[in-house]
Amino acid sequence: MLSNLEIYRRAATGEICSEKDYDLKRFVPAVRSLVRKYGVEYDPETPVPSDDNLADRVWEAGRELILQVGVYCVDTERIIRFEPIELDQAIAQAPREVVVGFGQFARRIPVRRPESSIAPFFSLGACGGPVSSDEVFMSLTQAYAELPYADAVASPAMTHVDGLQIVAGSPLEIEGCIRTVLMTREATRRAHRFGLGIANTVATGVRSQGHIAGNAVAAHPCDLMEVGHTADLKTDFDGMSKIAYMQRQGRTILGGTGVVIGGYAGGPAGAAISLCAYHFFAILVQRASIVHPYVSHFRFQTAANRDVIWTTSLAIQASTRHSNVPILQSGVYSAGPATGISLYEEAAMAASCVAAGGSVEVGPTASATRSDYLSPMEPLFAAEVGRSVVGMSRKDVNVLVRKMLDQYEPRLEAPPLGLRYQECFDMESRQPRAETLEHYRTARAALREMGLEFRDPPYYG
Amino acid sequence: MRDRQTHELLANVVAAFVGAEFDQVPELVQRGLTAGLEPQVLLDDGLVAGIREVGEQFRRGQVYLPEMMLAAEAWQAGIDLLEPLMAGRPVQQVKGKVVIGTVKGDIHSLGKNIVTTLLKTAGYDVVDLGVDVPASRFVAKAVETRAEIIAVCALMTTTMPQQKEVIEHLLAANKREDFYVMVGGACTTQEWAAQIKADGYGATAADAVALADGYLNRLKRS
Repeated sequence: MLSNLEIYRRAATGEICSEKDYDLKRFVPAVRSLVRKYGVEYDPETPVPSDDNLADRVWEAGRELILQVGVYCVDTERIIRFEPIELDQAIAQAPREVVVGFGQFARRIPVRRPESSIAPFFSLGACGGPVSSDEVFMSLTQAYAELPYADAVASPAMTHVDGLQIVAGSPLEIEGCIRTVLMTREATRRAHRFGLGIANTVATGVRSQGHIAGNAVAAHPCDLMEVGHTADLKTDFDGMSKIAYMQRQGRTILGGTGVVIGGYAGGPAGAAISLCAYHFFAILVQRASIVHPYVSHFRFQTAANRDVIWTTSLAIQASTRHSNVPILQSGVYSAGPATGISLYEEAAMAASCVAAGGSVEVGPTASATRSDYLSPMEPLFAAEVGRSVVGMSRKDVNVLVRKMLDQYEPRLEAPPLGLRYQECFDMESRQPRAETLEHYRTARAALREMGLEFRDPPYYG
Repeated sequence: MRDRQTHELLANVVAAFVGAEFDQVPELVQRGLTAGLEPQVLLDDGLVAGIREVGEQFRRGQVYLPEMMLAAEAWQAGIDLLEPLMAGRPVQQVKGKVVIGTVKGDIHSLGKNIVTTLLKTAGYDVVDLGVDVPASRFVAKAVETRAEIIAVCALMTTTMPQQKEVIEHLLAANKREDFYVMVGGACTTQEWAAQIKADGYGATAADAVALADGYLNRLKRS
């Protein structure tokens, strides 16, 4: 496989192109033409598609996309090009079956395929959802770590250090990043699950210096470090700097591949193709051992929108049919805790990803925009549903997801905000208050009504 | 009453926008000029009508950012053809000037680009400062270009405080009353906008246009 330095060499010597020309004259026309060439058509009636031929066409289109347009380096304003053999080598030689965590809590992220009977990996937590204080951070993260289906914990983002608001690029960001890892590890210890891996170790940081500091001072080699890119097939020196550090430290990289439906890739069909192109990007440019797709929508701040579910599910199916690099899907959800809606949102996406062959990271509520609007209930419920659909056919999961969409889709235009963690849970016992518990019971009963047989008894109540 | 040829030529310009055949727009405008159509007619009933249709398609979720950006490019190409023939008259009615950017420390551009495109196609002259923009640059550019509005984007919880910095820099320069400051971005909320004393908050790109229109209408009335 191409080395990291070779990627940098190409970034420094490749064809010069303005970013605007790359976006509008290369990327956009290529995606539009590939959507037509491969006949990729969005079907809103089938949020979880089960057409293998369609998945294969999307994969081929994604491969052709990255070959056609390459990867754009924003800092050098040059294009990194790849040869077909280099893509094939990347898929053949990429890492597989990564272990996260250590000791008795070391967990494997498995290679899965669509409709696989292999249990997925669940990273449960706030995934960067903001919290207002150290007290909320510790109680909430301990509650995540205590969840029996948590194979790893995804940290919240700190917003303050000793009362001072964290600003990106400032020394407070460095301090916040270090504390995030230290406090998350302490939370796993308090949960009596010391050794549980931390996924996305430094949720507080934006810049590479914060990520590097957090990892250098506090992370364990078996934690996961996310390198996230949010613009289709673009990289920059900041992201490359994180990668350079992680490679030399032998750390495991979670390659965050963000696509926006309504962005440069266009609608769901183009976004699914872009996500497959991103799979190669993750292996070659991000040096990822796990691909971490997160699809967002230009109108709805949720990964549980119908367009997003279709795009994510199809791209995961395409990737897992052709690559052995594990997938850990991620996303944010729009309704807040203790609304009921948030439970269905997270469960619908989890079910669709598990059936597609992925593993799942769930998930911040209230669109991860408001401090403390987070709870362990949604990740727990999503994991319970995700575990229960293992081995089910995509067609059956499609029926289930459509029923769940009926429960929440009409509310996505104005999702309810719900309650803060300290309002819907008891911070000391980390147990849900009565109203929160009632939402959980109602949602479990509704899912049973929809035909789902839960594999596990209820964890709460 | 327009003749059939005029009607067809104008309809073809609009159809090129609606059918996303943006490359054809300059050629169709040129064809209209060759056929003797008035530049003002081509502007109002061709380019303006066409880009309005694309804006409607975007609002209905039928087209996305690329179509909006390509439509804006096609619109500009058409304007470039008409402008020399307008004998010094302003080619388009500019509603107002907006200085926009993503704050210091934040390199996310997509949301800002959507807002920029919507503002441009709604008739605003937009000065796009790009990403990772220091607070002082927003202020300096707004003063320099005599903008009415400053639009400040931030995606992350740790970059939101930079929106407040822009307002504080305006206060420090004694220029706060000179500009309407609107904020937006994934992590921002109405409460945040109120807390930092921004003038407007947009949850979506379309909100930004509505906020700008509302402000300028109030300004005209006062």
